[in-house]
This record gives sequence, C-alpha cells and structure tokens, in this order.
Amino acid sequence: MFRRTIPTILAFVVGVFMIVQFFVPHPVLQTLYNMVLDWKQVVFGCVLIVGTLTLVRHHAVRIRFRKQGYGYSVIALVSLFAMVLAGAVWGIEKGPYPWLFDYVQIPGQATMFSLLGFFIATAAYRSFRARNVTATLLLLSGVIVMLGRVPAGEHIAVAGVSLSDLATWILDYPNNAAKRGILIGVGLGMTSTALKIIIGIERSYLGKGD
Amino acid sequence: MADSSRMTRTIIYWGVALSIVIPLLRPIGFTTEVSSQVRDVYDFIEAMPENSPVIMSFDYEPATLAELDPMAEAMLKHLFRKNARVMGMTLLPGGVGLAENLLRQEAAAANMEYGHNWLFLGYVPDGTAAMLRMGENVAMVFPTDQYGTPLDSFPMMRGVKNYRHIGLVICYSSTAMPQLWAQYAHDRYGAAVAVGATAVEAVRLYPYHDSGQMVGFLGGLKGAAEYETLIESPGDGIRGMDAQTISHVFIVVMIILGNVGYAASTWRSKGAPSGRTHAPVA
Repeated sequence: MFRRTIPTILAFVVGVFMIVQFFVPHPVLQTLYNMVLDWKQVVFGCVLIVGTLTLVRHHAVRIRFRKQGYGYSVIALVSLFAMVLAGAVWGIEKGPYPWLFDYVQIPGQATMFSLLGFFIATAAYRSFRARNVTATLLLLSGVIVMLGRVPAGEHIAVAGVSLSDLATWILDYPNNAAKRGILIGVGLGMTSTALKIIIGIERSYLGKGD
Repeated sequence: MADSSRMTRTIIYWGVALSIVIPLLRPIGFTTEVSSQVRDVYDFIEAMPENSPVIMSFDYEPATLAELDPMAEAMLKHLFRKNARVMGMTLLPGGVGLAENLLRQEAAAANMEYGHNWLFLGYVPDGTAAMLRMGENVAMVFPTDQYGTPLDSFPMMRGVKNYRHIGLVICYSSTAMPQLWAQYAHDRYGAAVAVGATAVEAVRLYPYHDSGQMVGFLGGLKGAAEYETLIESPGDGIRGMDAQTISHVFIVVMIILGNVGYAASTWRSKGAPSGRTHAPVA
C-alpha cells in the first residue's frame, strides 16, 4: 500500500491539481500552486545532497578497492572537499574559493571542452565520406553550413548564391522542419506519458517490487 | 596502417591548432553579416523604454564560456547604454563566479551603480520551479541578493514584482535551458525571452524564434560577433571570427582530401566507387 497505492494516489491528485490550476486562476489554487513549487525546490535541494553523497560513495569505493584509474577518484574527492572547505572557512567572496574557481576550475573546464574541437576535426575527416546519396547530402549540407556560418561563406558563391545564404536556407527550412517535427513528437510523447502517470497506467517510476 | 592513421591525426591536430592560434595572434579582420535572429534581439532592446528591468540568466559553466561570455559582454554593454536595470542570476552552480565577474567588469566599465543599475541575485536550484515562481513573484525565489541584502531594499527593484514588470529575460546557455525559459516564462507568463546559445544548441532554437516564443537568439561566436557589429564595439566575438573562419576552411579542406583518398581507394579496389567497405581509416 505504501509503496504503490499511496504514491499512485498522490501522483493522480497532484497531476490533476496542476492541470486544473493552469486553467482556473482562483486565489486558493494559486496559493496551493506556489506551495507545490516551494516543495519542488526543497525536494530538488535534497536531491543535490543525495547526489553529492552518492558521488562520494562511488569514488570512495573505487579508491578502497584500488580499481583501475582510482587516482582520478582521489583527485575528484580532494577537489570536492577542498572547494567545500575553502567556501565554508573563508567564504565564497574572497580567499581560496574564488581563486580556485578563477584559476583552476575555469581553465580546466575550458581546456577540456576545447579539446573537443580537435576530436571533431578528426571525426569529420573520417566520417564525412560520400559513400551513398544520403551520406553525400549530409556531407554537402555539413560543408555548406560550416563555411556559410563564417565570414568566408559570404564571399564564396555557388550558381550566384552565396554559401552564407545557402547555410541560412538549410537552417531556416530543412533544419527547422525537422526540429518542428521532433518537437511535436516529443510534446505528444510527454503529454501521453504524463497522462499515463496521472491515471496510474505508467508506474515504472515507483521502482520494482510490490 | 596504424602509423598512417597516427600521422593523419597529428597533421589534423597541428592544422587545427595553427589555424586557431595564428589568426588570434595576427588578426585578419573578417567582417560578418548580421542574421535576422540577432537583429531581432538588438531591435527589441533598442525599442525598450529607458531604465527597463531586464533579467539576465547566466545558465552556463566554464566549459562554454569562450562562446557565451562574448555575447553576454556585448549585450551587457548595450543594456547599460540603454540604462536598463540588469538583474543577473544563474540556474547552475558553476555560473555564479562567471556571472559575477562579467557583471562587475561591465558595470565598472559603464560606471553603473550596484542596486541602482544592476544587481546579482545568485544561484537558485531547480530551474523550472524558479522560472515559474518568478512569474508570481521574483522575491519568492530570491528574497535577498547574492550577498544577503533583502531585494526590496534596492531602489532598482521598486515596482518590479514579476515578469509583467520585466522588459526582457535573457538566457545564456549551452543546454536545453532556453527552451524551458520559452515554455515556462513566455508561454505561461508572457515574458519576452531572448537567448544566447552555443552554435550546437542554436540550431534547436529556430522553431521557437519563428513561433514568436523567443524574441531572437545569438548562436555561437558568430552570434556574438554579429551583436558586437551592431553595437559597434568589437570584442572577443569579432576577434574569434578570424580563427573560426580559418579553422573551418582547414577542416573542409581535410574533408575534401579525405573524400579524394576514399574515392581513389575504392576505385583501385573495385574499379568503381560503391558500398560501405574499404573506407580508409584515419
């Protein structure tokens, strides 16, 4: 009962309430709506705590059993506790916390993300091959958008149309049409899943067992 | 085969590195055309009354600052020129330091006073709940600013309760956050939403702009360069265009060479190009 019936009833009541309050702007419903949003943020805060504890546990186990690459786990935990300690002792406005953020976290994350540029370049070289009609279309549109989205594309023309205009056309029409189709599909999928959860047909979020 | 693959990879890595570093050290000065999506954002801000309150949500972390910082910088310059009241905030913990640094830097450059022209609300968890609650009352989400001062004690917050009193909401992000701002802040509460997104994410935003759910958007470093062109204040966006142009041209040349090699190898092995096999691996 506590594992399945009560959560299902709760999901139904809250789900129906959220639908009704959207269409009925009565003050009582608005107050309840704000209360639900308050709770949602509190629950999210608790999820952050659970997430941090899970992260610590995961890396602690890797270090304890000396799993391959456990050195990275040591770095992850030392970094985590160093930031927490720096913020708790000296505050987040001055002292080691902003220094660590400005001179370790920012360059570290920016460097890791920048490396993607090199991988994408080699991936493009290997993957963009005119193997068949579909691959050739992908190759051509990729090249047009790559050149059309930089100033060079404004000076290169194919049959009197600049690559920049061609890239804009690709993004405005084929890309837009595909994205709209995907968005409509996602929207319908979300609506049907939400209805299934509210009605109680979809219960996988309750986990396994009785 | 493995040696040749390693050699090709080395050439590509060196080529990409040099095509980025050299133009940054010796700028070429490419100019860029302004797209309708960027011009719409610029025109909207131009049309806003003086002193309009604007929410600027820095929903990104250091990984994507190279693309997103230049556009946030350019838009802050424009907003401060228009004497807009800028409220900075972030929905990601890693965005706090970035937002704070940028707001302080641009406010100092434009001689803007904290609490009168700008303030920093800080980080709040659970983006969707925050977006919805700000539609009811901003002070419910941020009772104080980042430094603990009650929000209603700031002169710039007088008469500002929710999205109805806010001229524009701007979100900078490398994730799906802009779509959420459009769906919750615009669709539910009618807030005007503009977006600064990484180039990869920007392709998802065209339907939202066409439907009017977004005022417009800046896509990638080019979007920043376009905005800098509009406000006539060259910055990292325009400087980065040189490097981006040369590196894109280099990658396209490598793709063409790769296809020439592929065509030659299939021709040699089969007599005519066909099938998915025999693709040379870099």
